[in-house]
Amino acid sequence: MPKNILIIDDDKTLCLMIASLLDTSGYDTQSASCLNEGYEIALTSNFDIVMLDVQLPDGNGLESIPRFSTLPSRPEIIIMTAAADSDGAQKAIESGAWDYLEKTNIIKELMLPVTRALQYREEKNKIAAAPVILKRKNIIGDSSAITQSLEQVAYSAASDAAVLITGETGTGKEVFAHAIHNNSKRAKNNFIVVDCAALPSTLIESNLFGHSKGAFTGADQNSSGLILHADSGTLFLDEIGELPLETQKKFLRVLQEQRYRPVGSTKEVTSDFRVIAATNRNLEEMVAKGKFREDLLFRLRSFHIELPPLRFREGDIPELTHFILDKLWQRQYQDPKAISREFIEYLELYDWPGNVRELQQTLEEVVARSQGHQTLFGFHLPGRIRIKATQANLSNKEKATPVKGKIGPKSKPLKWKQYKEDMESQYLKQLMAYCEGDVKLACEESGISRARLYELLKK
Amino acid sequence: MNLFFYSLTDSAQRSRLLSKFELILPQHPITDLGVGRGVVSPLSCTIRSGDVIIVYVAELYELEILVGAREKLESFRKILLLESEELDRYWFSLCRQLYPRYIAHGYCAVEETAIVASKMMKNCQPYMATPVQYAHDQAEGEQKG
Repeated sequence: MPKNILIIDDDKTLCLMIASLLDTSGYDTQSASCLNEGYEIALTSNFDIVMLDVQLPDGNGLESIPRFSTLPSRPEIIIMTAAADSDGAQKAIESGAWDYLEKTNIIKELMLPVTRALQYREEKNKIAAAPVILKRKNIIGDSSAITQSLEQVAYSAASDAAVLITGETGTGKEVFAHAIHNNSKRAKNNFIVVDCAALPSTLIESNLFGHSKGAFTGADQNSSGLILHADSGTLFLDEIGELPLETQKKFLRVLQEQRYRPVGSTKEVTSDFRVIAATNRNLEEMVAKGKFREDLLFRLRSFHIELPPLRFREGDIPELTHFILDKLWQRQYQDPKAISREFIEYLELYDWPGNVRELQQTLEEVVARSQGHQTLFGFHLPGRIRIKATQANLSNKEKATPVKGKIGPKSKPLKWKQYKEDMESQYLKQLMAYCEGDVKLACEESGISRARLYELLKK
Repeated sequence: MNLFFYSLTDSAQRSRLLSKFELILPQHPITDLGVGRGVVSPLSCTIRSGDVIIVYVAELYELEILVGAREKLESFRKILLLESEELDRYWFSLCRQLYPRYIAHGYCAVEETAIVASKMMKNCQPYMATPVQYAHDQAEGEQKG
């Protein structure tokens, strides 16, 4: 089946020349002279490649890469430019373009990138067609952010290259490292965790590399070290940013040669392990400050997985909540409870700076607080979450209905009774969230009598 | 963030170790989770994901039982403190199935465990509202409100 190529350039002569070259090579081509025309044509057919000029009458081709690359046929994008510069090239590559070509030599140089892009596309389509069954224990959710991370897990599990997992604290870096190991060909062998942040510099080398008897005070027998334990398996270096510089140097040599010498030993030991490293620190910044070795970073970053924070995982909170609560009830030998909609709504309105770990810790507290209750209500959540969620809710409502309850010059005012009731209801919600439902405290804070407060709450 | 001590069985050595940890880790109060097969949150505090737990293992069979019930310890950062001086591959393969952050045994085990536990506690980032955090949140809420 002939491959389809779309050329978008306002230089009609160049379009004709490129089209004729590609046509003679057996490709089907179509041309457009501006972005919008090109986009309309692109929607009508499945293009394999879109060749895109940078300066077009209705916009910039570089900025339109995402628009074209997300078309249903997911075409490869080749950028053509009359004035090539390094910033443009960087932007093109970062935006996912296949290549960045100068127009001056385009007729001579075009065929190679086109052939390669089509070859890559063919292989990509074959891989995409083969179903991948991923063991994803403890990775919950189907948001697009987490699906992208899972795709990266699948790619990295299929290879044996080093993986660097980054992401905010609590995003589940260790869980993802486990997933890569469990889906790899090394799954039956050891998964060794090294907590670089927990090990003092005096212990880290003997722990990683092992030591021979008599190497230092207390070394009364040989110790094989974690690298040897990871032979045929995976070595997971958590908080790699905390690894001392001296140890980084030695570890780099191990990665390069798969051989090392235990502390105090004269014999070299070999170990065939796969390394996965994780950190919440910016290693590039650390390299710039001389706190992390650049060569080690390059070695570790063969695959880079950046985990999304929970606030970007749209729609995952309800499923995660059910999963965590089920586990907690089981662990605490408690019967499952009903979960109110309001409970989930509160959780969804909070921004979770501590990510999944914070959610888990919050639910652990909820389980402890709610013993004997049959249903979980928003009231069971800690005050800070209810306050922030209530505030977020209020500001959302203000944004959505900016005139309600406010006196603008052109807005029709509400009836006094309606306005007063709205404000009362808002005030009571905030008051009760602030006092965590404690009526006595609410009376003290508001100056309202107990009887009056009950009366208002009843409304 | 809490620091717990746990073992499957009771012994005089267990009590000695617990007292020693209380002595050498005065800055991190250690809570005894008791002995037995289940890990239940004590009344004094709530177990939270990411809490540090020192698991003392005296005998091989205890380790085998712990591996069988490893899901109960899943949410903790675990430090294994092994009584046995001489550990073979089988010991280690069992230990590894618990995914510990550190395994201590032999001559310096208690001191090493204390150092590692202390460092872990310093590096932990709790997100639960401490009284100070809660007061701050409330004040912030007041200002915004």
